[in-house]
Amino acid sequence: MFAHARIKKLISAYLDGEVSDKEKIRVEEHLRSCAKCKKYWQELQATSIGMKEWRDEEISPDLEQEIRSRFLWQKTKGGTMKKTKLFAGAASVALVTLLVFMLAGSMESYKRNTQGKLAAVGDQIGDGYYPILHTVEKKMRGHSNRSMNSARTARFASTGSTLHLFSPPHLTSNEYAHNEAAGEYGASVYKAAVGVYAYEDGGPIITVQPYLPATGTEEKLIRTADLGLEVNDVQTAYDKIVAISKDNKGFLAQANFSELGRGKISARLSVRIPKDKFETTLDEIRKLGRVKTFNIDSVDVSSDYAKLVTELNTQKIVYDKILEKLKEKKTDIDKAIRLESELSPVTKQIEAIKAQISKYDNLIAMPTITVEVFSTNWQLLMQQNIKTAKERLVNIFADLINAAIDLLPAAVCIILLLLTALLVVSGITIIIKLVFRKKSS
Amino acid sequence: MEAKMKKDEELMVDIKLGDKGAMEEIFQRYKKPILNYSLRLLKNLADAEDTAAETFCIITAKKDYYKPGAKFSTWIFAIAHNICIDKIRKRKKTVFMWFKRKNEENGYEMLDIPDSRPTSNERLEEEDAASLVKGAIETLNLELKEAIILREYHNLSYEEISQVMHCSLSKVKILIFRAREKLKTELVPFIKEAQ
Repeated sequence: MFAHARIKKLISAYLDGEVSDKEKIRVEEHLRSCAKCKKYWQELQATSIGMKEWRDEEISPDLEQEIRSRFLWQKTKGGTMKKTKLFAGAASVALVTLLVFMLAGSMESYKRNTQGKLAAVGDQIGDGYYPILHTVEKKMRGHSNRSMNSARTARFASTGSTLHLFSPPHLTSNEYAHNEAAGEYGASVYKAAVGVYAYEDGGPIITVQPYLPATGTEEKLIRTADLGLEVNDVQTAYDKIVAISKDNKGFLAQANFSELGRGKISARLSVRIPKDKFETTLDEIRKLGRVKTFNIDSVDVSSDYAKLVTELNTQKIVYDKILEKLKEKKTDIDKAIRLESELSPVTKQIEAIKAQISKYDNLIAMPTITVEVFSTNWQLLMQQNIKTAKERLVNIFADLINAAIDLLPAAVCIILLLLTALLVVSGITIIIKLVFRKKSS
Repeated sequence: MEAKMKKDEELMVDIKLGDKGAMEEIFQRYKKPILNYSLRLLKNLADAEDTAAETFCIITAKKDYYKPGAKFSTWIFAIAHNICIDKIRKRKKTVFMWFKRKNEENGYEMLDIPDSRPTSNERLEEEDAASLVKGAIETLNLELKEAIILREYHNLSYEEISQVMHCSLSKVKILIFRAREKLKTELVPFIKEAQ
């Protein structure tokens, strides 16, 4: 049977679902048999519900605006985010200008340059994709190898309308394999981006289908593991973890060593391990001490990765187009300068996307294992506990003296009252005795 | 739509990669909890707003310190906790913000800076009940108050609270138990009255 004080502590934790199964059974058994504790539990519940009366405040629009401007436009590596936005804006303007330019450009000369690609793309993709392709691609032949690569991200079609966005149909396994073979970047991850090139009388129009079906065979997972180990000697464990990570072709990414007080010494290490060695390394590290906490997490970034790849390919298509236009003989100097200036933001965009992809690649290829090793110096802990206990005793003693001082006037009053009462009672007794004596005499 | 389905931890990975959409999403998810956590702890809307703004700025500035796999809610509340504690310490140093007032527990009490701005809960009955709860929470010391606020208003587990407050799990259990005991004494008579 639990003491009531102990059960009360458990009831609070029980209310939050923070008790072990064993404790839960004990609490529930006790609540069934003890009306007093049951009442206590109900009152705690009522308190908890009552607290909800203090409602949440809404954030003011001004503050929201201020935080958003400060939070979203913080400085980032390699410039401010404002600059990034400026750059994105410039790139968009450049793209629109390019589209208008191409629309107004010479239809005939451009057609000659592009027809070859259209035909090849038709061959690459296969006749099964879009019926609309049949009308065009068979007439067009011969194209460079480079556009073969972009074929998997672009479809070329000739129609009468201005803009065409085709929803990509589900690819069959053969088609997917076909696309895979033609891929240039991260073939296993490609989700087949779709850019559509359509013709109108004025010139070609580039449209891009930004969202793609997830048809990848390999998931892109960023894996992490967190491990809490209690060891006898932190320094030795630290050295061993570093050695294990080196043996497994990994490296130490981050480490800190701290004495937490209350006799605890702790070290926190982050090691990056090749993904094929992730499990084995984890097992080796686990054996170094008593596992207190253990957590493995995987974040699937497949769709984001695929989006980046798509964006990269789209930008590359735009890049190729501008370059092609530049190489044309008919292009005058003004046009050439304009095109040249449009090329630069696209190149920057391509580089930025490549950097992001490589960041993802790095996180995926080298999962992170974070290990917290700690040990307890019992001697130091005991010393500190004794010191705390002493301090508490002194405080209690001081409180008692203060209480006594506070009570002193009241005590004096009571004593005086008692004395007065005593005097009165004795006086009355004496008078009564005297009266009786006189009567008897 | 896709971003909404993502976990906070996934969004944080995106933020590390410079995704502004993820930043916005995190902001939308945590703006209200962080403001209200600070408000309940600091008792002053202006300070709470400052804390919320600083918290989000720190997240952006220190995003590289976030360890993938660590619980994001714990991280953001720990940042807000540090800022709040810092503000309370600064208040203590500012002498004019204190005045001597007899209090049955400690002898001295911190001056509340009344906020003239209207709150969103204007209704009278709500105000009455809310002020009762506020008053009861105000009787708690800082540790008890923070532990119970994180538990009751933000549904953090004991483990998460211990990480936010940088203390042991057993201490959190005791803090919450003591806070509830005190609040029960303060609130239960009124709850019974209402019933």
